[in-house]
Amino acid sequence: MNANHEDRFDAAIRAHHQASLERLSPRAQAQLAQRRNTALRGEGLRRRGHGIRYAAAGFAALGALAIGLQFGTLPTTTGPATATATATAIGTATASTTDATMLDEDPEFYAWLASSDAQQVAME
Amino acid sequence: MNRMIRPTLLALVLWPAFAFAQAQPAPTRYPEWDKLSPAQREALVAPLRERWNANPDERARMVERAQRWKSMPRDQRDRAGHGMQRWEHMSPEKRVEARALFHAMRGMDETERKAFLAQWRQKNAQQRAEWLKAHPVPERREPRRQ
Repeated sequence: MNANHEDRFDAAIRAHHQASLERLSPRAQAQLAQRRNTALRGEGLRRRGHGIRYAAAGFAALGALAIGLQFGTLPTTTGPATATATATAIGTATASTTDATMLDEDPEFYAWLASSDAQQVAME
Repeated sequence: MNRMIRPTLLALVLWPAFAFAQAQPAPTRYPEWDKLSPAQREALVAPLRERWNANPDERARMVERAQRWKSMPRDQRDRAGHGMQRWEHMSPEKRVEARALFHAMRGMDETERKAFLAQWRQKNAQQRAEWLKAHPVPERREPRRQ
């Protein structure tokens, strides 16, 4: 008995809904259809997923920053090619002057040049 | 459109991190001499070898100076290093003056040194030039060959 009553109620509601739809303008019907299709494709979920995507991008940025800092502070173990190039640079830039200059004059003279006496005679 | 915006945003977010990593100069640490590669040793020794080969008359003095560098106490060696840097930035004229002053003052005690420095500061350029002419740097003593 109750089931028959609910079926009749359901059928009556559906009939009213159908009648209401038929009275809608074609433009309103098209908008409703578009929204339904959008909902079925899960667009709403995708919009909510943007937060997750931005969070992932943020973590990636932090990771990249951490990697950058680590590369900036870690001692580099030079490979053969890099080491050779750097050693050549040392040889031409620093060692060519300092190492050879070391033996040009007496080391005591060099030490005197750094003394206060030498600074007082202002040789620069 | 979204497909273009997202990678662009990600690139903009990541760019400062990569730029920072690129901007950091990586300090290079080198191992002990025995662990250097032959190419590295060659690059370090080459200027000295060139100087050695180009100045046969200086070889005995170079050996003697190297031994004195080695026997110097650490603090004196550090001072000599600073003085050497100063030397490298001096003009040839100032180098002559420095040599002459060193040789003139090296035998003086503290009182004599102070008096000499006071007199030197009062000299004008011409007087200093005259003093340098009257007190040339003595000829280098040839060390005993080994």
